[in-house]
Amino acid sequence: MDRRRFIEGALAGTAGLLLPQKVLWAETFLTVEQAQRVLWGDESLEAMPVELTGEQIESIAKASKVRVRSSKIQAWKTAEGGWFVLDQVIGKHEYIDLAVALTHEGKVKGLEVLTYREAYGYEIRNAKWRGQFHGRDASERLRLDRQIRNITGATLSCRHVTDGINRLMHTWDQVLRHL
Amino acid sequence: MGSGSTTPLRRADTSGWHGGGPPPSPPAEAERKSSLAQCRPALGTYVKVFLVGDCSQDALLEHSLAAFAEIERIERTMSFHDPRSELSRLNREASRRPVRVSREMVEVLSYALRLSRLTDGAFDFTVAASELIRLGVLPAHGPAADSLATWRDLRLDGDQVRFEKPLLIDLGGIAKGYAVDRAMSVLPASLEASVNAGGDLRQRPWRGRTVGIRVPGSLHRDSVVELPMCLGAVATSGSYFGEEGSIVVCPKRRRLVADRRSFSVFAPTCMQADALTKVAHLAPGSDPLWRQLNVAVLMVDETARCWWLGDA
Repeated sequence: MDRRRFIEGALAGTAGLLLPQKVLWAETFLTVEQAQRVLWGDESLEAMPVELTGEQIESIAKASKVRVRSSKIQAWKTAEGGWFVLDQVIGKHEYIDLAVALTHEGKVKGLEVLTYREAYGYEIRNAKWRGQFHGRDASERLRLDRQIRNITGATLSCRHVTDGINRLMHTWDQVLRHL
Repeated sequence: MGSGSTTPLRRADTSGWHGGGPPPSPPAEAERKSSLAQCRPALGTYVKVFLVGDCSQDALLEHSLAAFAEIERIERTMSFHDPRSELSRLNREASRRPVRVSREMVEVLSYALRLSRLTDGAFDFTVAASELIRLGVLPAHGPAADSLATWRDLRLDGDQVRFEKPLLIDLGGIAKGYAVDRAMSVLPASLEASVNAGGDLRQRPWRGRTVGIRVPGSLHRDSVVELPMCLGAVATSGSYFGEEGSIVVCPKRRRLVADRRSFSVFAPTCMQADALTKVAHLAPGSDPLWRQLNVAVLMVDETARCWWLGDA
C-alpha cells in the first residue's frame, strides 16, 4: 500500500523526473495530430486550455468519485461545441496518456491511448529487451518485431480508463459545457 | 549518398545524413516501410494493433481503424455487460424459444460446444456467469440460471439457439480471442500485423518472432520470460493482478480457481488459444488433448520456471 502510494505520488510529480528506476515499459501510439484526425476528422479544432479552480476540482472529484490530479486541462473545441481533451490516467499498474473526444452533449465520441507506461515496470530477463524503447522515434523505420514486443499474461483491466472517462464527463458537465 | 560527406567516419555513420545536404532517398527495403501502433481500451482491457507495410502511415491508420471497428463490433455482439448485445438477448430469450443468431455467434458457440465435448465439460461457458454475478464481476440483468444447467442444455441447430434449462452464457473465456482473430481477418495479408488484446495476441508473420510471458505473481520483481513465437496466436491465464486478473471458474465445483502458475496456450487462432487457457488451468494434464488439437501449452511458475505440457 505504501509502495503504491509512493509510486502514484512519484508519477504525479514533475515531468516524470521522480519516476522510480524500474519504469521500463513505455509504448507510444498515435500522435496528438493523428488522434485529432481520427476522432474529429476534418473538423477544425481551436485550442482552449482550461485551468480548473480549487472549487471545481473538489466538485468534479465529488461528483465522479475520482481524484482530480491536475488543474490544467489541455483541450480543443470544435465549431459545433465538441471537445478534444488530452488526459492522464494513473492506474494500479499503468500510467496512460489518453485523447478523448466529447460531443457537444458531453457524450464520449471516441478515445485513443497515446502512450502507455507500466508503473511497476519489469526487469526483462533477456538483455535484448532492454533499451528497446530508448531512442526510438518516428524516423526509425524498424521492423515490427524489433520495435514493439508482444507481451502475454493475465489480462490487465482497463477500469482506470473508465474512471478517467467518468471524471472527464463530470468535468464537461461542470466546466467545459459552459465555455 | 548525396550528402557531400567525404570522411570515412561520416560514411560509416548509419544515419546516412548529417544535415549538410538534402536527405538521401531511402536505399534499403526496410527504409520504405512505415509502421503504426494504435491502442484503445476495448474488450475490458487495452487492445493494441501494430502494423508494418509498404504503404503510407495514413494507409496503415485506415487499416488499423478497420481492425478496431471489427473488434468493437464483436464486443457489441458478445458483451455480457451490455443488455443490448446479441448475447444478452440470447440469455434473456433462449430458454423460452429458439433464437436466431449471427454467423459470428454460430462460429463461437460451435467451437465452444466442441471444446466442451472434447474436455467433457472442463471448458463450460454456461457455468461461470452465476458465480461471477454473485461476486459482482458481471452484472445481473438477465434471468437467473438453473444451478444444474451445463453446456449440454444448449442446442445449436443451424443458426438457431435454444436453452433446455434456464442458463446464462458468458463468452468471456473465448470472445476476446475471437475478436482478435476477426480483427486480423480484416487486415490485408501484405501487412505485418500484431493484434494484442490484453495478452490474447495474434501475429503475422510469426516465424522468427518472440513473445514475452509475464511471470505470475511477480509484479515487483523481474518478470518477463522471452520465448520464440509459435503457431501464430497465444493467450495466457493466471491470477497475476489479484482481483483485477483473469478469472477462471471451475465447472465441477463452480468456484474460482486459485493457482499461482500461469498457463499460456499457443495455437493457430486466438479463439482456440483463449479458450484453451481455461482448460489448461483446470486440467493441465490434458496431454492427449493438446496433441489432438495440435497446440502447445506452457506453464510458468512464480520463479519463472517454464514447463511445456505434453509433447510441445
